[in-house]
Amino acid sequence: MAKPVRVQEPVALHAADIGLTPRRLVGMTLSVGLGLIFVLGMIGGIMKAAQGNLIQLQPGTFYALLTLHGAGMISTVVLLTAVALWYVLHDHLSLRPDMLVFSVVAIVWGLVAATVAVLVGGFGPAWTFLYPLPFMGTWPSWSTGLFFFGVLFVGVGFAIFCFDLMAGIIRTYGSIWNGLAWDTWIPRLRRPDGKVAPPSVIAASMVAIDGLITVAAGSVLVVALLAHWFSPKFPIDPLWIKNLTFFFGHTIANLAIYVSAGVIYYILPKYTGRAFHTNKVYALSWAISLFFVPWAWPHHLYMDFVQAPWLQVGGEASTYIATIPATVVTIFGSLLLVYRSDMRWRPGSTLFLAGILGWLVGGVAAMLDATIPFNAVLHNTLWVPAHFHTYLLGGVFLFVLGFTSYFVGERQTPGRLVKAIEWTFFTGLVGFLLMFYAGGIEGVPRREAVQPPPGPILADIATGFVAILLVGLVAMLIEFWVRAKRNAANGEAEGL
Amino acid sequence: MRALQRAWPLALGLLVAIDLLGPLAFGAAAPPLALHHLEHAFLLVSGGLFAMAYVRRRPKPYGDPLWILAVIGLGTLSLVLMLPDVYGIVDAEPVLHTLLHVGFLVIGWLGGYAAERYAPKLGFGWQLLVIVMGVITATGFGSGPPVA
Amino acid sequence: MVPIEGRQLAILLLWISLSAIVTVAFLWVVRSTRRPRDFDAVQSDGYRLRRGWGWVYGSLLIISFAVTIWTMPYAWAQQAAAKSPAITVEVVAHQFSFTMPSSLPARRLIKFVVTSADVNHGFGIYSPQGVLLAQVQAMPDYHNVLYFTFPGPGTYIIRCLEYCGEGHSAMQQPLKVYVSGSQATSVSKEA
Repeated sequence: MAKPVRVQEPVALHAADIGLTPRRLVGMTLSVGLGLIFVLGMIGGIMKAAQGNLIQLQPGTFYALLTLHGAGMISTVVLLTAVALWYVLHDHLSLRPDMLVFSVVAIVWGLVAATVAVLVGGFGPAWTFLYPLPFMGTWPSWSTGLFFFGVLFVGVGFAIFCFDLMAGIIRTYGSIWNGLAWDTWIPRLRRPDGKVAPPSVIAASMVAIDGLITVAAGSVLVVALLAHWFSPKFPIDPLWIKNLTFFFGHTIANLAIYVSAGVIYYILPKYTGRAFHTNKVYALSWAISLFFVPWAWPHHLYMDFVQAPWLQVGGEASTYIATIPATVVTIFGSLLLVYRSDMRWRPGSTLFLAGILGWLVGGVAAMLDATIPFNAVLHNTLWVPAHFHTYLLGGVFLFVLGFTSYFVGERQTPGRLVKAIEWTFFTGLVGFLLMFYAGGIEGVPRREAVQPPPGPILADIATGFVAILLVGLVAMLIEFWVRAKRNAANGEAEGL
Repeated sequence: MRALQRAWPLALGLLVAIDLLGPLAFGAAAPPLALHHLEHAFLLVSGGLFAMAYVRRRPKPYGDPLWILAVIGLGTLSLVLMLPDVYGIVDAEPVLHTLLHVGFLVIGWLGGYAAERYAPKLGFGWQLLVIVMGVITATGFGSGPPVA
Repeated sequence: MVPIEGRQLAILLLWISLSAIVTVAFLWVVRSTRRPRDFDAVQSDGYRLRRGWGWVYGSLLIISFAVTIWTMPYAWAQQAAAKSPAITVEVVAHQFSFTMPSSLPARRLIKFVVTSADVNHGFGIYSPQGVLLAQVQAMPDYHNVLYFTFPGPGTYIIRCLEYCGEGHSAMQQPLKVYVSGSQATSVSKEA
């Protein structure tokens, strides 16, 4: 027998030390994040209006706004989902509020840096900043450097989140493998008290591991780009860095939905009165996600015919395989949880259910795009933003809104006004997305300040729907705010 | 099994010593870039493993957030040290080169130590970071496009 | 409006039908909450259904993968299938134009060797009606090979399909495609 090791207590840190309760901290982050989403959504609407010739924008301004919209939305969505997952797990895993503060501050600093680079410097190589475009644009060199430092900060913020999540899981379940519930398959790993990680912790474990893999890739990417910025002698292989860019960019955007899954596992049961239970199927399904999600990036390079064939074929296979756990376990399981349940239909539950539908429909579009012969006529058309807006705006963002509704406290059945807000919001959302799909099927390229027909007509219609969507969003956020104030005044927190 | 548990630091130490001193003693040529990156990753991982073993024997209070910032900073530092502008200085001098490799071992140790000081067993998170960075750099960090 | 045909039509039909199926299933589940039952009563049926769904979904993926692997647009997949010798055409993309011939023959296999002189570009071939037919990326330091046969004569559009800077949306040019033999057989190269 090994000598029992005396582990000393952690350096104590209570929420009071930073003058914030976890609830207040999360509430503040949600407010800032949702405000950012609204502003960036307005920028999206402005771009649509410019494409529809309703307003005039210089191409340079258009592409700078495009860069800000993309980089900002991805970072904010990652931040918001991370905060939601943190909130639902922080008690259970004893996550530290001060670490969340570090994480949020780093991401916000990164966003500020990127915003200055874009709005002051006119930096505009789109959020994928494919080498060598960032170094060959019309913008000043300082804006290129500042933007990459911004990306570095966002990466650091996400890394802090992943590290603390991993630490919390190990502290509570003994190892990250038990966090992934591999002990359901390997009894030898099981804790003496037989406690098995709940599904939301399984999702968190996958996110922590794949998140760290992603930031490791991101750090190599950003250091290479910054090195080239300092000294243009630093050689970069365009194909290598394109792979790396999408390894980082695709995976971090994709992880937002896996973070959300952890939130769904925790919150959906509150509305249905039924629980998700960990079993071997969940453990296996999340192990598949863990291994295959980081291998899906090559589907961004299908049209780079010099790419090694094994990566092309493997990319299609990995993308296909990565959808199995989501569709067969998480989405099916959520629907089973709702089926003939005594569901309490509140704004939150409606948003969660609608988000799952958006995830599915966007997933179907993504699968078609990830199929190589189809990709040949879809790649870099509006089909691409169509599918990712469906599962980021029509999926992940709805989970964030659903979480916010739960967070501020549901308390009562929705009245007519709430129903009207929901109808407005969803009408705008669906109409806006359909215009994207129509553009994609018509072969209209994405990322164009001036589009070939029928791009402009579709953009005109889409602008109208964006306006409706934003009106719905503002109304919904005001309703949340009013509800939050009222519930807080009654001394009531989150819940139904 | 027990013997293996006790012997691994010695075995790993021997491997690290061969890796560090071999080129000095025999004047071996520098390996190809990819292999060289993996060699750095090996040194970083070894340093981390030693740190984890060290902390396990002498547990210390843990949990200060600064340790996590140190982990992230050390990871970035290891990449910066591999930049040609920095690496070029030591590349030609075998002794300096060996010293830099010792530096990687130390960074690995510090990273593992810092991670363990944030939370026990979090050293594995550091190892994951270093291994992924090592594999990715080996695929082409610091090398230009193939000559057509 | 651009006519929807060929692959685009297949994609549209697949997307609409699959989305309709999942939406109907979804609404059915939502409606079912009007008649609540105990979870125990539906759980075992649900798990059985899940197993069935897993098999169906997995089989669909395998079939789709098997079909698509034979229809990949890559040179290694196409070279073997090509019966006639190909005409080699070099394409160099710049910010913001393509250096390539202004006319090419129809119904002849053409081997486009595509590269870029500066940043990443795309090389998209649009039919005279505006349908996107094929594309490949133009990357500096690399040569991407695209095999393509123009189905008939007409004025095709070559359009950049990778964002490449301020002039990106103006980066397109016409390409005259003629019936083989009706014009000079040699392919002229223009700066």
